[in-house]
Amino acid sequence: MLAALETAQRSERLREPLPRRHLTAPLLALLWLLRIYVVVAVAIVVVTFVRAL
Amino acid sequence: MNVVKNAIERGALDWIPAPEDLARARDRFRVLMARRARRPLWLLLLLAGPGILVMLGENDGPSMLSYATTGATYGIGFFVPFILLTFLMAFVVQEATVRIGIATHRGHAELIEQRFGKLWGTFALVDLLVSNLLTLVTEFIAIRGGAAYFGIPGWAAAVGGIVLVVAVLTSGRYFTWERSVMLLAAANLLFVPAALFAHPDGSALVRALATWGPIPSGAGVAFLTLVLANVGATVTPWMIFFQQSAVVDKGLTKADLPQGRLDTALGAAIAAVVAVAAVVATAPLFAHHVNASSFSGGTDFASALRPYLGSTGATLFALGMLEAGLVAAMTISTSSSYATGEVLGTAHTLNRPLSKGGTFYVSSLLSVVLAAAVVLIPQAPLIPITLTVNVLATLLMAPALLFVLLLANDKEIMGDLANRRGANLAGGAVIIGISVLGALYGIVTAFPQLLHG
Repeated sequence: MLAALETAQRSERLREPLPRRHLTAPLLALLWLLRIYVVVAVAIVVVTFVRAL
Repeated sequence: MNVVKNAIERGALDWIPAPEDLARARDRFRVLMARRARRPLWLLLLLAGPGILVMLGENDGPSMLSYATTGATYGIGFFVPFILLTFLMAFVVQEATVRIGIATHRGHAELIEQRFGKLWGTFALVDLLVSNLLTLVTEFIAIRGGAAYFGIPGWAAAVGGIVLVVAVLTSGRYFTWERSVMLLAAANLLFVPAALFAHPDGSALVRALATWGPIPSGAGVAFLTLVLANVGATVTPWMIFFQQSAVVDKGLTKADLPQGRLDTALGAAIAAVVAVAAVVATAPLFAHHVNASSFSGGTDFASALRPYLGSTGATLFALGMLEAGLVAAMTISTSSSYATGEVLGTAHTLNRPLSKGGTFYVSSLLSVVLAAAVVLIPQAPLIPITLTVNVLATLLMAPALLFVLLLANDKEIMGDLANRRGANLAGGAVIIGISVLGALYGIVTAFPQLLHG
């Protein structure tokens, strides 16, 4: 029955981390841009929430 | 375990299986037997679950309240086809998570951490935990509100909710958990008979679907908030984390991809019907000019609907709200547990018994207890919290979706399951659409005078 499990599905294999990918400068810039967007957007939501109280 | 020990001693087994391997192998064995016996329906029944659960789980307390508010405010019109579109968007996103889970056998949080590094993994986890905790609060608001319709006190509803979530969670088997929650999620369909009690005008529904109208006049903050709330009611970060982790925990493989896709499509279709049913059920409030803007939850809607749906229809509506909160509390708290375990490197499977999955079960328990406690605080601002949660989830979707798109295009880990042109166009359109809506919401909220000339 254990053969029903593919090798890659075994828990011991799942603990092995996958290699890091190379993050290019444009990709990093996009990720940081979205992070800033999240911070600003959340701040706006918080202000709206407090105003609604 | 003795059988396994003997097999290792005999040299018949070259690895030591963990408890979760044994549970998963049992499930996989049944799948292989069904495939070998060429029983497609049985195979689908075995493999369905993550997709249906994620979609019905997202028809949660605040989502059903958003649909109810939509129906009561604007009736049958623009929002009916718009809601169907949002579920199409949800399918596009969730189908990608199925492929990523199958190709990598990793949950979403651990995959971000391993491929992008600790910093981005932590950002993703914090976004998820914060929005999940807030969403859980709203689920308990729905549970409390639904129970109040039947005269059950708030504290009893909260404690009952916690007990039920923990009882189902600690079964020690993914399959048992999944089937228990699916059974409960079937009650989401109660909104359909409730809608029928409203004697809906079929021609108005067809007209709305065909013309996307009538469109509400005046695109104010309230309209835009409802648009965002309806998007947030269908596409949220927890769904991405949950379905990918559930696909891995269930043990889906490449051969199961067609069933995984069908499971997701079925879930989206059923959830869309339920969402439209909630709009239809509350449309009589719009027709009779009942002001629903001050309604605080399911009980208010159910009580206001009694003259139009009758006692049975209103009761079905209240039961639906109660179920929506309970099922979502189960799926959302589980997504928090999966992600926490994945990033911390501790147990992150439902296939471990309670005694061996400490952190996993404790984080779920903590999140539901905390959420229930907030709901029981006297004078807590429950209405603003409910209204804010879907909007917040929508705003957090842009970075979450970008990670899905990046991972789905990562050929090194995806191989031939990587995104093709069509999937990239659809995924890109969803990201741009949600980001633009979010930015628009931010602008009109910060500068409301822009809408009034």
